[in-house]
Amino acid sequence: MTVGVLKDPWVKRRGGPLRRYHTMLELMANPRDEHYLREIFAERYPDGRVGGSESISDADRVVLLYADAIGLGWGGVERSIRKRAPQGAELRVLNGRLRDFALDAGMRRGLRLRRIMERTLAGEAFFPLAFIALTPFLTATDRIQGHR
Amino acid sequence: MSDAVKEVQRWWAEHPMTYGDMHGHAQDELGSPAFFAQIDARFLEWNHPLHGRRPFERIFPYDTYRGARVLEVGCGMGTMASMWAREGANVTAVDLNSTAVEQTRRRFELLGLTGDIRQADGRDLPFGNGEFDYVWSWGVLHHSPQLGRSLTELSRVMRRGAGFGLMVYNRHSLLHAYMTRYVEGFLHHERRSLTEVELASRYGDAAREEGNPYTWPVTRRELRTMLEAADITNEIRVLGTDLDSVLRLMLPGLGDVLPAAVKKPWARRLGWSLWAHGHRR
Repeated sequence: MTVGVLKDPWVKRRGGPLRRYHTMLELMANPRDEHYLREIFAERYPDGRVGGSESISDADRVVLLYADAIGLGWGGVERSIRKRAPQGAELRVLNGRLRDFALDAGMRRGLRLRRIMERTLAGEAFFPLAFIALTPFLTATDRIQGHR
Repeated sequence: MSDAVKEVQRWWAEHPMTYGDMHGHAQDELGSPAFFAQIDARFLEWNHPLHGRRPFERIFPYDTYRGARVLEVGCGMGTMASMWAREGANVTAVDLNSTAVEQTRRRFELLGLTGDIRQADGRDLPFGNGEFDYVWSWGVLHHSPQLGRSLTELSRVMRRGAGFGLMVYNRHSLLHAYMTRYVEGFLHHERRSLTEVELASRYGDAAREEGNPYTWPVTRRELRTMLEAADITNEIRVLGTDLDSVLRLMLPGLGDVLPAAVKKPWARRLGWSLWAHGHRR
């Protein structure tokens, strides 16, 4: 039996003091809705059923349905599923970008790094530095070339 | 017509450019006056730095071509074609997909404008040599798998000395580097599944959902080479009208408060659009 697991980590983040930060994360992540995830799961795994993480006891394949690309907010559920999944059950991901892949150790490492980078805006932290360093040089070049 | 072009034609007919978060979606019914008003407002707002007293006056030489034969290749919902018609040009507009042709005809009818609106492939235009005095295309030809061939065809239907304007996406842009290559390619792991062209096709054009069959932004050098081969003189400018929205994501909290003087040098170099204009030799 193939079981698709749904979780919406975005709902509870839509209010509160960090609303602006979460809105930006959501904009970048572009998560798809539950209807879409159920539809692509039914297409890929026509004999499967969708449930919560508690419904995997008889599964021989567990498919995590990430609404986004990398499963932001899924770390805890993944750990719990790995502990509770039947011995030998295959663990896969079907994500909101329509990618279907095995969640092996290498993939988990890659996803962990990306989730940290996305959540901490680590890449974005470099851009202000580049802006501060390069803008005076570019502005001076423009002035010399006659641009206002 | 190749399968790739048929796919482009089919996709854009089903997902016409409605200037919203997703292609093909609009608040109002397609073809209604409210629909045209809504998409025009958004399209004009996006491009506000290019307007003067009239929309796009800073790039379009309306007065030079009043009464002349002008051609738009890829007219979409007919926004620009109708502007030229209002300014007194004798407008012909073509698009590869039937929805665009239907909507542009409807718009002209609603506005009481006259124009020749046809379904045609930019690589094989149904016109004789040298028929037009001015030819332009806005944000369309980067969706064609054969941009060079389209430019040669545009050149063929221009008379010697005819004016030319072209906007295509810029591969050397902040939007492409940040949203397509960094966020989607690296951070969202899409580079694992997609080639560079597939990545740009899916993520390069507003709606980041599957389907868009082909979008390949070009570099200034590539564009210059293709225009030279098509016998069109060219000056190429980078239009940075998208920069505010990219900076809001790249510089969280700072993008909105940075003064225009700080953004301008970046917009001038790394904006999302290349505007080429010139004349047929």
